[in-house]
Amino acid sequence: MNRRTFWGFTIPSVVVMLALMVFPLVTTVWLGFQKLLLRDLNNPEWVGFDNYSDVLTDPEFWAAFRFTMVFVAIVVPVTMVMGLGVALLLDRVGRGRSLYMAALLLPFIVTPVVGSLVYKDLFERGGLLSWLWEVITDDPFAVNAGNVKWLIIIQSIWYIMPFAMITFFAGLQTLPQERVEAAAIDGANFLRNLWHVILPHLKVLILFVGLISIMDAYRVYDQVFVWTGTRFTDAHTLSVYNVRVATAFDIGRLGKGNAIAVLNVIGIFMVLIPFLWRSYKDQIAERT
Amino acid sequence: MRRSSTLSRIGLHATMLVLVVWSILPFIWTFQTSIKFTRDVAAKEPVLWGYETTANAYRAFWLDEDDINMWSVLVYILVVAVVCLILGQIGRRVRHSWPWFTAAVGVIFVALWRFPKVWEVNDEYDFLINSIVVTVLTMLISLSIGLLAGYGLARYTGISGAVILIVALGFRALPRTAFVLPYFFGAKEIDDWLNSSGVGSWDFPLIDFPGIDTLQILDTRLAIVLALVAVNQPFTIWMFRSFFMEVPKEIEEAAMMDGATRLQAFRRVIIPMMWPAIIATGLFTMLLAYNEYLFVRVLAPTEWTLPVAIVSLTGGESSRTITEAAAASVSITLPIVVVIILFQKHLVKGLGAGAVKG
Amino acid sequence: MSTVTLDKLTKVYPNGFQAITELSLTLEDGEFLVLVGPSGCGKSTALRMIAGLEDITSGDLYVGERLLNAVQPKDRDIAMVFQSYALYPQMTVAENIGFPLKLRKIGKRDRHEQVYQAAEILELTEQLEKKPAQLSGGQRQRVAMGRAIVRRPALFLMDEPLSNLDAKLRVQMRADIAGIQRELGVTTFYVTHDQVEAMTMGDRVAVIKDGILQQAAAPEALYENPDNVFVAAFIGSPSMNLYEATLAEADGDYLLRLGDQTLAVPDRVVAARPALRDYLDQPLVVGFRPEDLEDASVVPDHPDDQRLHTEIAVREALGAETLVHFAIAAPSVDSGDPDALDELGDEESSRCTARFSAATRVRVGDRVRVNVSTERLHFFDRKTHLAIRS
Repeated sequence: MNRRTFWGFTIPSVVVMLALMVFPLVTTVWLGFQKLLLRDLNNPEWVGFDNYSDVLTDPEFWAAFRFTMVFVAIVVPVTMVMGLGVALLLDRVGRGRSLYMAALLLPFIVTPVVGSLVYKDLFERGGLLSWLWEVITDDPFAVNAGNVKWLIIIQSIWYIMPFAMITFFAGLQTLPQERVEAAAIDGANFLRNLWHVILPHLKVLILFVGLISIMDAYRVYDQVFVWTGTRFTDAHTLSVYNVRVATAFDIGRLGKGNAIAVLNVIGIFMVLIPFLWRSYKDQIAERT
Repeated sequence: MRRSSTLSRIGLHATMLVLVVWSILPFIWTFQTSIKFTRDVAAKEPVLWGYETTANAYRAFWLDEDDINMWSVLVYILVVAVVCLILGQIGRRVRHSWPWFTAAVGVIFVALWRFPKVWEVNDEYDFLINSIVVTVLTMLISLSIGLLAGYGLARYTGISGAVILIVALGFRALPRTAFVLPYFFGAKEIDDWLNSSGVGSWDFPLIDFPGIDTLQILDTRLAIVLALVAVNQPFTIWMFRSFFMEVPKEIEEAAMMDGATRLQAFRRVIIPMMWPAIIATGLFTMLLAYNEYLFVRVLAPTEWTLPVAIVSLTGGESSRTITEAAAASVSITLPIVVVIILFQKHLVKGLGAGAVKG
Repeated sequence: MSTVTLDKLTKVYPNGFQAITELSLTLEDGEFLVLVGPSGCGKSTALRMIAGLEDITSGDLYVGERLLNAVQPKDRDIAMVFQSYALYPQMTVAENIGFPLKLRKIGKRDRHEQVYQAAEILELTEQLEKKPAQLSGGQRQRVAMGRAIVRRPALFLMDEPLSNLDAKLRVQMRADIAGIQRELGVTTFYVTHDQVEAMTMGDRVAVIKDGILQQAAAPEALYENPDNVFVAAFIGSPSMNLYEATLAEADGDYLLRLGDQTLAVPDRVVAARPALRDYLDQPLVVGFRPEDLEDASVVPDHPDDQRLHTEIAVREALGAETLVHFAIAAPSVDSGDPDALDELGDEESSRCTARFSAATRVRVGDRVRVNVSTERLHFFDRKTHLAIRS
């Protein structure tokens, strides 16, 4: 395909990405240097790095940062290990597999805010699990600033795990049967089989799921917002903190909000750049 | 595979059942809540079975009348669903499925449009319509430009293709917050300009949208659609590209030798081979648009879609009861359940394909 | 009417790789020309340039009087059969064959008629409503043919159309394609790496190596009079035996020194190639085909000084004939065919293949005498690898 035809096909998408991704990103950087309030959007004022020093000295930013890191550090490995485990189980199920799969996929497919709402209902007053807790421990259960972080993490595992599961499951379907049989003939037990046959086969997928999970966990918004609202601001993640600062009714500081957004972008890119660089090399290698 | 013993099979299914319960328990609980009477919900000890069921919550959430027989509403929805299903099935058996597909879409459209004329509806009905409009438009735009770009990127071997792909991959990773604030700011700026220059209140003789007097960006469905199309592009082009890479290039070369232009070859030969890819990518796009919360909340303060409506209407200050909130949750989830049941295979395949190429 | 002229066609890829160098060929109207060469020699690139799927870097391409360099593939009036067939999987056989007609906006009735005619020629009438996935390999190949013949183009291009078929089917399709081409009389440009296909199908065969045309001639001429060592080795199976040797004159007789053996070369052989006299006592390349060797015990009345003496290393009885391999104490010559098997042997001794008649009784380990038909020896320059003829 020659260059002109290529651009003919690609231009609509490229224009959309330039106008609605590249340009806004530049705007974000520019706005990060402005003093700009939500109620007075017409008078931006250049303040240099004031927003950044404001953010970096804001204890709420560091609280959000810490919780986001904890969130990523727990949710990503747990969902991946669980996902792999469930995928292996699902792979062994013969009859009824698609039924199990549909049920297991549901949390991932459902609207995240609704998923969070229904999960939260279990723990609210009169909810099934808060009642169970009361029956078992004899203490009334209430969502509070102390336990809400854990509830968010548990619910997020519930929400994200099916993605890892279904991707690994798809990967297991492409595992050559001869390799499993060869391992069985060699007398491999389950763990050896997992270590020497299954994991090497899934290597690329594990990297893929890991990266996607890190990206998605890092920018988590919906679940956290539903669980905390304006009540438990301690348990806010970077994204929620970011939106709150920028759009809070009457006191929204858009300039500072954008500075946070820029910091968030830099944060995720520190993780991503090696991966992007490797993908770029792969792409170039594919072309020569 | 080795034959497993009955015991380990029972163990396997037992484990799976536990996992299924862990997955769907919240939905079961919420569904129960939605069909209970308020007194059962408020009981100190949860009433797990043997309670009296009612559709009051659904009626109260969606409809503006109190004395409607919910059975008639259910029958209405069922009839529409059955008609669409029959049309779809005929379409699958008859070679040219487009007319049948169009007919099914038409039936849904008429059903949605007639519904508020048959029963008085609440504002929530508008949010449902918004959700549908946003989802359908996002899918249409996103998939069409994504298909073109995915094809170009799969076939072109220049360096610029690699650059576009990698930049898109980077965008896929960015937090939504990096986009939503400039979107909001930009839309506001454009609206201010439209207002001050008077362009916004121009009277376009041919385009007369009912209920729209002024041209604006912020707080419109268009704003949501554009934002969603943009953030969905990276995923769409990567997904389509990986599917196009599997189509041998000899196929379109053969078409070109047969007398087709590049575009004809694409439209008449390649696209018909791509339906599984289009369905898989379309499903994910649909979920993205239907489920979006943040963009809608920030960019459309009143033109809500269902997720925002539900969060806002069931929050602390709202007058809605717990049963109504549950009814709302069930209502928004139901279409998604239908989608997984119908398209589970495509969904799994799509995830697999996207992942393997990743 | 549709003479095809390639005038110094050259293809240079953006990365600098020169795939084709000044390829000049003329196909007469209705001619079946086979372009044959080892893998990676640029033959497919040549075909794709004619098709318009690759740009022509320099040189001109004419069909009839029309210069095609800048014409879109769809407007070239050229049909192509791909190695992978490239059938449209979502269309039935009838739709596949009819697709070129549909694109030309030919009415439904005419289209059906022409598709049916094409299907009859190819014996596909039973399969018309099936999808490609339901067909066997041979049937798919026929559908690809059908798509090409249905529109009666000025030129057929075929890119190794038989290489995905099993051996038996390939032999049958070889004859079928040649038959159909003769029946339709359409000029055909056929690309293959298989010299048997080339020799059996082509009116003329063009041998190409590293993007450079080696020789274009009728199959028999190519076989009898190869222009250079590469063509000599590439055409014919098993390959021609090629060694470094020296021609000497002693007492008015010519002797060929092949390692530690000598063969008498009759005067008339040298007389037919006057240039050979310039090579006397200098190393040159000599070649003889396996079929020009025979077991001396089967054909005893052969001049004894035109025999090789050797020990049989391998014997392959094929029924109608027997192939034997033995060593010759002379350096072999690299023909430049990348697909050729590595020669067994070293500087001092090389493998030699002979095709004995089935009557031979030789066994592995036997010491035998081998008749050499010296009339049919081929001589080449050691440096240029060009044939020494005149």
